Amino acid sequence: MRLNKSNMVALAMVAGGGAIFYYITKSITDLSFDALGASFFPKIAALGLMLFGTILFITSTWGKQDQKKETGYTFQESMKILCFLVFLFLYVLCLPTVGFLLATTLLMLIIFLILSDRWTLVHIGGALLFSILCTYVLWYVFTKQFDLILP
Amino acid sequence: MDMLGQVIIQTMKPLSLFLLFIGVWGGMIFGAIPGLTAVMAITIALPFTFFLPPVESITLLVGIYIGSISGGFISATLINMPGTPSSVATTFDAYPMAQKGKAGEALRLALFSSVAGGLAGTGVLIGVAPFIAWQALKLGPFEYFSLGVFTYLCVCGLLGGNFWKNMIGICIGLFLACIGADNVTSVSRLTFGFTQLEGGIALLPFMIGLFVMPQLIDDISRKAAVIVPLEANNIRIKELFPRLGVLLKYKFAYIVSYLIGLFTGILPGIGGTTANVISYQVIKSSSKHPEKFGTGIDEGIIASETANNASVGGAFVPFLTLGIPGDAITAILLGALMIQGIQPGPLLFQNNPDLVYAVFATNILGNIVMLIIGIFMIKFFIRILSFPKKYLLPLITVFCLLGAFSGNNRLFDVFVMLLLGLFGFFWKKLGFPLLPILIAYILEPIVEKGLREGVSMSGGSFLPLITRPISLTFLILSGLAVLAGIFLHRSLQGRANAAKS
Repeated sequence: MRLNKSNMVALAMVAGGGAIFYYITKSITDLSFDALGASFFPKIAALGLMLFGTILFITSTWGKQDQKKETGYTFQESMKILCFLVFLFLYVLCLPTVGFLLATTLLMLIIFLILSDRWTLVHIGGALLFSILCTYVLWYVFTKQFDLILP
Repeated sequence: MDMLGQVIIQTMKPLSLFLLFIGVWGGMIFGAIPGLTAVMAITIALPFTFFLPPVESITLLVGIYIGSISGGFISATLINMPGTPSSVATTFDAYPMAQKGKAGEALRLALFSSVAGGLAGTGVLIGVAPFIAWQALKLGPFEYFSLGVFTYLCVCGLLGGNFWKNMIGICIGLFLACIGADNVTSVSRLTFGFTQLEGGIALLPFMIGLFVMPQLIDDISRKAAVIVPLEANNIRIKELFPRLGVLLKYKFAYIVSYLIGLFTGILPGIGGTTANVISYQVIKSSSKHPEKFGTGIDEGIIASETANNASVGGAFVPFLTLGIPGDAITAILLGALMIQGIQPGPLLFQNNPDLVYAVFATNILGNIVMLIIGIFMIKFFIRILSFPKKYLLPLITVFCLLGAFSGNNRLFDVFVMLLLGLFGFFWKKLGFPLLPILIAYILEPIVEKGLREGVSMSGGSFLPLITRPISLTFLILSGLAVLAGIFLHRSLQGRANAAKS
């Protein structure tokens, strides 16, 4: 028996996802005049997850090995992804208090730095200028032209 | 036809023409730069369409669609990297041709084939779509349910990869679409106590989260140093002017590629991505000199670029007439229209004929604009290929955040978008496709409403699903689509293995 990515996900689908989803659907109220009820489709989706998850588990465990190999990330690449995600979530959390202009300028600058190989003063200065300019233009277009209320 | 003429004139108005130009140009940029996708381009443009009338919105979005499908040939020719998956087969012959010092000729052939395929695809769209829409008016709830099942199984069967993984994606899409007030009885479902989820997961955060964020996360981690060969700067504009004699010389390649592109475009789940590879294989195997393919041969470029652009016209047929998206891009276009309060389908031809004809007109004019932009701005596209991503990606990230926020003016949607993006990223990394989730999510209201209304009308019986001829036909076609998918992908895999050995 092989345990590769596919059958581990399939196992999680069957054991976790599908069963939990099915349990959650029990809380949906079905009205008497509706022949199938509001819970019918969510139940079908949850049962489908369990069924197809089981089939995938069986086929990927005892069937042919998946030929396609996904290229992984190096430590540096993984750290870049982690930083990017952390700062994105922080941005959304801080947005109401810090405001769009400052938060977005900082976010753009951080992404720029994540993507840059060299961090010299000239680079950082250029990036800061670029971030300020873009943020201001976006703010102007969306708030003044499109009447969008930004935090 | 009078209406089409009127809409073409309307599209020639300064604002529409400007939006069409911006759409095609922007689409070509996103298509040309590897790592930026057509879906990204359309999703970023979506918030702007909220502030435009529907016809102008569709002009912009269709322009982006046309430009981004074609833009891939520029990077495929010059740096051997297809800007979009629909130009994969273009690299096989366009790059070797460019390596021989004939980059201008390769670009001219690719551009002209793209325009020819796009215009011919539009011709069929204009001819066939009104007839199908008229027939589609006869569809009842059971037929809509069966049509939905057909689309789901088509996507799972024809998309390629593991069928069961695709089916799991469909189930997840269905489950996510069920969140919020039920569209038949308004009963609240799966909201987990969040009042913000009463209206369901908003479409824009869903699309950005699932389709743009995973790509963006991946792009952030990769070094993207693109080196364009110096000779590319020597390409002269007059080298790119189309030569109509090519049409006659390679008429067989054009016709066959066009038909393959059109057919694959109509079928849900395939689109330009597969069309260009199938077309290349077919033209190669029917050629008198297949050994020359891969060395920089004209037919190789024609096969790929004609097919992927013809698939655009094909994809619009089920999209406009039945409200069925064939791929991720048409699914997002469908979402864009739904945000504007317009539901594509047979009634669109009755209720919003201006919009339908705007799609036709944009397809015609968009291809002409693409030809002009392709010829006169080629130097710009060569430069843009070397443009550092560290300037583009921060901007795209902010556009995504603004896009998710702008629909309902709430940060909750941005959180949902980020969570879906995280999910989509890991889902993709685990080898599961995202398209089935999106297609299931978009079509769930039609499928669920169809079945529940139908069963209620028939007194709780499911029998009409197989006693009504159109419904039964769709169900039989669903089974056939799965079988055809298995056959098609085994055959393509076999050819690929044979080519490797």
